[in-house]
Amino acid sequence: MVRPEKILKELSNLWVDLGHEEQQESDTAGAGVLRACSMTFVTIADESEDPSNLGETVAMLMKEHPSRSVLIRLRPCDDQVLESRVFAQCWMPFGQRRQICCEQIEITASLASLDDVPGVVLPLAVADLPVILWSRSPRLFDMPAFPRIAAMCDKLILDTDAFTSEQHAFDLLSAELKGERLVADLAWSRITRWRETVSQIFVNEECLNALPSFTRVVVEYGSAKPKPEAIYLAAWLQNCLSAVGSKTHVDLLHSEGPVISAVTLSAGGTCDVSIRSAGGGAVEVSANRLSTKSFFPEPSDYLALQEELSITRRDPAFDAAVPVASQYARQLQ
Amino acid sequence: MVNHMAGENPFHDPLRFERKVPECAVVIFGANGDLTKRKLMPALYRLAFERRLSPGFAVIGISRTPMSDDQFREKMRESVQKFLEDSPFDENVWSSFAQGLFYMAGNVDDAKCYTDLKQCLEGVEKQRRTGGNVLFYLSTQPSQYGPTATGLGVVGLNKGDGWRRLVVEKPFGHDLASSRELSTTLHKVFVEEDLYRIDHYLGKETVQNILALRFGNGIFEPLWNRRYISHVQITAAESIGVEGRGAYYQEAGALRDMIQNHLLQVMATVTMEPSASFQPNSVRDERSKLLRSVRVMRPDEVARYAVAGQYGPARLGGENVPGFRQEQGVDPQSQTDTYAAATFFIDNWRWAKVPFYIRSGKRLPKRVSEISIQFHEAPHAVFGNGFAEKAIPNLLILRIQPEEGVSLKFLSKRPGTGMTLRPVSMDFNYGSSFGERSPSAYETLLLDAITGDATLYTRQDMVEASWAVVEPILEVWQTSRFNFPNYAAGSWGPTASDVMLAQHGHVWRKP
Repeated sequence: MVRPEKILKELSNLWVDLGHEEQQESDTAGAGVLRACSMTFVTIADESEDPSNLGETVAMLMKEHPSRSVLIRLRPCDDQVLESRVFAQCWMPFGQRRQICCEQIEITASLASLDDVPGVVLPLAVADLPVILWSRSPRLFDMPAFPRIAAMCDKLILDTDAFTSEQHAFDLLSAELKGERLVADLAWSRITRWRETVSQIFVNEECLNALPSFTRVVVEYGSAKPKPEAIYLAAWLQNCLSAVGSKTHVDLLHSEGPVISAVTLSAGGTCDVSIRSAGGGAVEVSANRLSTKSFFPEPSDYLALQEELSITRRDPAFDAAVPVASQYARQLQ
Repeated sequence: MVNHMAGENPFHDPLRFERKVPECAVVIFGANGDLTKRKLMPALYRLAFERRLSPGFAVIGISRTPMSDDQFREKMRESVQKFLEDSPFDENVWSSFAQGLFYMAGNVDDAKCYTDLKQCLEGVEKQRRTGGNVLFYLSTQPSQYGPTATGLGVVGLNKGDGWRRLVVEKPFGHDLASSRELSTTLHKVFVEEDLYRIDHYLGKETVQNILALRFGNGIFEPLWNRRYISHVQITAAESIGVEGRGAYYQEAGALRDMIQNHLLQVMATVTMEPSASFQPNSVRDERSKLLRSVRVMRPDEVARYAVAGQYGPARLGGENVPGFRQEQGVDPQSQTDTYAAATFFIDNWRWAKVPFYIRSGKRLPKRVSEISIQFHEAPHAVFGNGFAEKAIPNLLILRIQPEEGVSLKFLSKRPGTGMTLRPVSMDFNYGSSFGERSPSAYETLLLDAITGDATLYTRQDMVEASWAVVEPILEVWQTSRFNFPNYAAGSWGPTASDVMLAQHGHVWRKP
């Protein structure tokens, strides 16, 4: 049995202990620790997931998005299991004398106890600050408890890459987007660097003016079938081209390489654009007969979440991309 | 579906994409100098590292030293590796960035330099497709600002297919007359809208945050006036001496070097009226209006409201530290102020009779820049004076460097059965709330100049208004004979500075 009041009491004691410890170790009287919190960040993951990887991601995020972190680990059993523990995530910022600490609460819940989770987590949300829910487990969405768990959050973050069926993931997203809640997909965040590079090319007026004459636009993917990232990129390009009146269809083509291996826009020689993965995070950017090299950081949950946690309003480009991506996924089935 | 206007980039996503540098060439005069090596090139490299540079971006460095493009690239690489702050150096990013670096040897006093530059720019424009946009950056001796701008005008480089802008580093003249003279020369070649007078203090994140704190929140502005604020202290302290810049500093002094530009601009940011929008000229109009409201001292008021100081030798941290007059290149009888403090009043409805104490100095106990806003004490001591360990009025401290942030100091009951009050601090720490790296002032300001945003740049009327404020002090000091040195290195400045505040019943805060 887990009682939220007990967890809050444990948190309170934790801060008092941390303050005492720090004062005993520090030469500066009254230095204490700095408690930082800008949101409640709830993560739901299967218990089978490597806890150290997940913990590392959450710890890295704390520095930029300090939060009260609530990690719910789903145990696949029919027994009634609901356990909790609290601890602090602390770090010493470079050149400073005072530690910064964030709270972490870990709750282990069996599938049979999932219904009890909202009642425990809701009182743990920090008042007046947003509640963000990152669901790493795709099966959560199909569980009866999901609407009650999702109801407590201001933003829901999922990853369509984790779903076995892209079509199912996009359908779920489309349904979520009809509501008031903010919704984000890490697969969409992972293509920001690609989208940004395309956009940067079209700052050039010559390229921008050539936009209506592009007759062939292709997204090349390296996986056996296109992953959500490649589908999103095609959907987004399709939307952008439609917005300027172009009827050109964006094609998805298989080639060797990473999840997205290239984007090419051709206007029959008058203006050709290509962004091609060159390995090791490098991409070759060719536009208007000028070639440069750019570097994309290695995609990770941390980077994608870092981006998503910074966005506190609806993302019109994402909202518009989801239905088109859903159509692509349907055609690819 | 997101609809786009004709001519707009349909791929742009302001929610997620950072502001980008459009295609352009940056021409740096004084490319072999310290500013280029320490600040400009690391800032441009950082923009490249963050993928903010357009493929059509180039830098042309100009200085007298003969060098090939490759030698210049190698030199700049060493500088970036040495002076890059809070950021890794990436070999791949550098090699891509370095392809856009070019060098031209030239003497800015020689007309040939400008014809050569014109030719060089044409070549670079073809090779890099910079779209005819050029940002000229004067990182030279101030005496060369006028001749360089004139030289650019003679060969027609001030106009072209794209935009042309000129960035000028401080000092903008050494007094009001020379500032106007410089401005007249520059205006013959560039219109005011294309002139960017850089004050790197205004590019600091925490100075910009003053605007966010004041105008993004509802709770501070109602208190932001004479009714609630007793006085304001602005401090910019350096723990180091002149560090080999003795010859330059001897001609400038603390009042000219810090207060006339940086600190008066900071004061204007703290005290200006809210602008109707965050458009460059709206914000600058308000800053300028404020600077014109600062009361100009009469010569007979200078001794009362301004203090000059110069540090003497001392023993600090187990070693002997020379006094200013013992520094290399400094006249042993120098009358230069290495410390300056002044009391200013702003003659407007909001700030009437509120003293603004500004101080800046070298060889003070620590490096710190902050604005301390002291509120009036509670009108009635409910708890009586015996209840507080020390009577401390509320203080709002805006820390610019180091440990950037905001603190509010107030009294709180000490736990226990008795009613004992103790001052406590409520802190907002910039670094802990926003873990991401803050861009350097030069990154922000270079990006602003290239994208045509002059909000954080100083306009000529602001320069003239601030010269008008400090000039009476300078004139009196120039005809005075000070008994220097009057403070020991490592102390908080001359005693006269404390006396200046004591006449209003105030004391300097020790940051």
